[in-house]
Amino acid sequence: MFNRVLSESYVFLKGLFRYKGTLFWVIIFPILFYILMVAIWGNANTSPVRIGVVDLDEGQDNASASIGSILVRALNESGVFKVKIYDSEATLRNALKNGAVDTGIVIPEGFTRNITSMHTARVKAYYMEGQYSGYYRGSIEGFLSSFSDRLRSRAINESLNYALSMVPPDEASFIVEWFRYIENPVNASFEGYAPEMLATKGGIRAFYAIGMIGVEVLFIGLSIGATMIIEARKEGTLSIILSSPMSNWEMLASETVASLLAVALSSISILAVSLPLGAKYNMPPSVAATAAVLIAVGAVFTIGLGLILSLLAKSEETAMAIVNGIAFPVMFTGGIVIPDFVLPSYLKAFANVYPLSRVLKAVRQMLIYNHTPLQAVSYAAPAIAATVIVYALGALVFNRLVSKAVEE
Amino acid sequence: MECIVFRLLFLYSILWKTEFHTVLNEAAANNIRGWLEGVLVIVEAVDLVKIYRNGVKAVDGVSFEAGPGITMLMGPNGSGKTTTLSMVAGALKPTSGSVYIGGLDVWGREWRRARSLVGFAPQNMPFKERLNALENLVWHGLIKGMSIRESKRRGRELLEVFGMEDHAGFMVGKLSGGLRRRLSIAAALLGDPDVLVLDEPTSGLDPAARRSLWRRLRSLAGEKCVVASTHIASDAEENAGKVLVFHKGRIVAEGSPEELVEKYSPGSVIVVEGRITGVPEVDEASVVKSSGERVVYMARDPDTVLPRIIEAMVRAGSRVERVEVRKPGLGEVYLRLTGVRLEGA
Repeated sequence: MFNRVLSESYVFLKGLFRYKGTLFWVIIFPILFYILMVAIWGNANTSPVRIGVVDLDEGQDNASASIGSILVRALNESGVFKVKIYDSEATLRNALKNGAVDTGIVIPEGFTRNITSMHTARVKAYYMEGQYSGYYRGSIEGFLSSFSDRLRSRAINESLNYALSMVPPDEASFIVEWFRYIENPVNASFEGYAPEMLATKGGIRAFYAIGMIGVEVLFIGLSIGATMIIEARKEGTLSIILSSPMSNWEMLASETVASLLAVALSSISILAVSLPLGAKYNMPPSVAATAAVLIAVGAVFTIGLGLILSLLAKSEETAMAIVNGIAFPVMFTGGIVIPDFVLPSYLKAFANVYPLSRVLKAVRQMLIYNHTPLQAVSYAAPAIAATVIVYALGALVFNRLVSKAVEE
Repeated sequence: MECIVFRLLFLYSILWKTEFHTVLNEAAANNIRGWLEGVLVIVEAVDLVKIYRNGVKAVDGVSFEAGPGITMLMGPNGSGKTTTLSMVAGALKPTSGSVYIGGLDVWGREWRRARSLVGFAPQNMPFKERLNALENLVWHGLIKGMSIRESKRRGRELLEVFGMEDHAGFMVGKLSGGLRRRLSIAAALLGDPDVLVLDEPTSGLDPAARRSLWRRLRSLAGEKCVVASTHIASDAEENAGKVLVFHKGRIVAEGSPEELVEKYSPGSVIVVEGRITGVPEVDEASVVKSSGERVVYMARDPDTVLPRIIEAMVRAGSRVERVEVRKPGLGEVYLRLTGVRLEGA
């Protein structure tokens, strides 16, 4: 039995380096795709907001610098913005339309004069509409609000000093408290927080490496599952297998083991490339072994799903069209490549229940977030149960298709 | 068959009823069991029927037995040979009927043992196109339960037997039809099966290559039971110990080539070639075929009839250039039985 189960793995290994197509999809493609993902999303720092500034503030005759120019310097030093100066509001608006900047502000004439003469100074802000409008508007709004707060504090401090000189000393504390309230009715404290995986470069790169393993599991499992019988019929070897002492279950086991071998080689290649690219894993032997088992569970699930899908396909081309039609959307919407916290809520729900996404999340929990194997397996338990059911159904479909083939 | 059953019963009574096995050492017991299985190895098809999903009845009540030596299923394309062989090999399930290999039902509980006794070479010579010749043999060995090392060793031996040792590393797609055919038979021989099921093993080969392959098969057959199909009458005639004549999914006659000829086509074939201007009727001879340059007569007593044929033809104005008298073959038998002319007849 052992030798029969090894038969497809033998074919796979012998063909791996001989056929460029197999080598490409199992080893080269995941490496290239991983490098691409790292190049695009692999850094912890977000890129700064590009802001266009039109500074029409002439300042005051006796001042060394206008408040407008102080504001521009503050923008530059914030670390959040990348400042680009424009000479007029019209050119700034053009730059926004062309996508040259994400936000913009116009500091009008008399800005300094208004502030120093206790008049409200106006600033006009622009932000780019679209997917990130909230982010852009929030950035500029936050900055201007903070700048305004600082000016308010200064004005209040001056007013407070004057008021304190006018009231008896026993009422001073009340006056101070009152002025502080006016200055800051709500004292919010802010602390930067990013999801743990986004916190470090190593974490991000490990996240995408596991995502890429998920992509390989998805495509290898589905395509082998969906084309298992079709391919054997096409090349005619099914009649040889049927006339041999190999049972249907051994045939299925043989294909499954070959798929797991392909997934293993692919995973090892991705991990091997991710390490020099800076991915950081928490991988003691127990975690590594559990991760391998969980990835195998994901692969078995997709093979089972592929087998069920093979009911719908009569030719290899149809089978591959179905596989691609399912795998591509799932790759992006199932929390495999794209982190689930950036997905809309309905896709988050899908990523939470889709067994492959769940086992990958369990693997990430161990390798990136330092969860114990027990915690990860507990999290993946529903996915493991679903895998048993889906693979069993797939096996029944496989058995039915073989029985059908033997009757035709 | 009765004889075999009797011998089996006798052996079982010795082995089990008298507890003979307890006194024999392991090796001796294995030898006897081996002999027992050797006796058992025979193909028996019982009332095979195959109706495809499209309603076509490809095989209609075929029954036969095949023992050691070459048993040939003879008939033109579409006569049910391939379907029958696929059912015998276990690659196609009959609609009804049974196949026994060495007494074991190919579709029954002991299917695995039954199929381990069979080597099958389908007509379309399926291979793993990603593997070379030797690797394909290893794959065949693996699915038969052999180890990689054993499959490789036996594969090399078989390549040598078939004169293909220099092609071991060739990808199967690069092999010629003849070499693929040989490789296909070598693959069937892996695991040393007692029954070889070969569907049109010489199909697509030129006459010299065909003869050479049959020579190899005859020498390999030995004690094995070879069940093969052919649409070439001369192949069956020269190589088969037993011929099953197939027509429209049925066996219309069976026996050794000699028996079939004797039964269905007695007498001799007289072929007259030359410039034929007329085909005269001659007593005790019948015209089988005639054209402008060739007339074929059948006659029971050629020595008496031949001079009369020549004389009648010359009198009719024909110029006789060549005369051939030969025994009829299976082609004539097939023609007589079915009205269909086979290749090589």
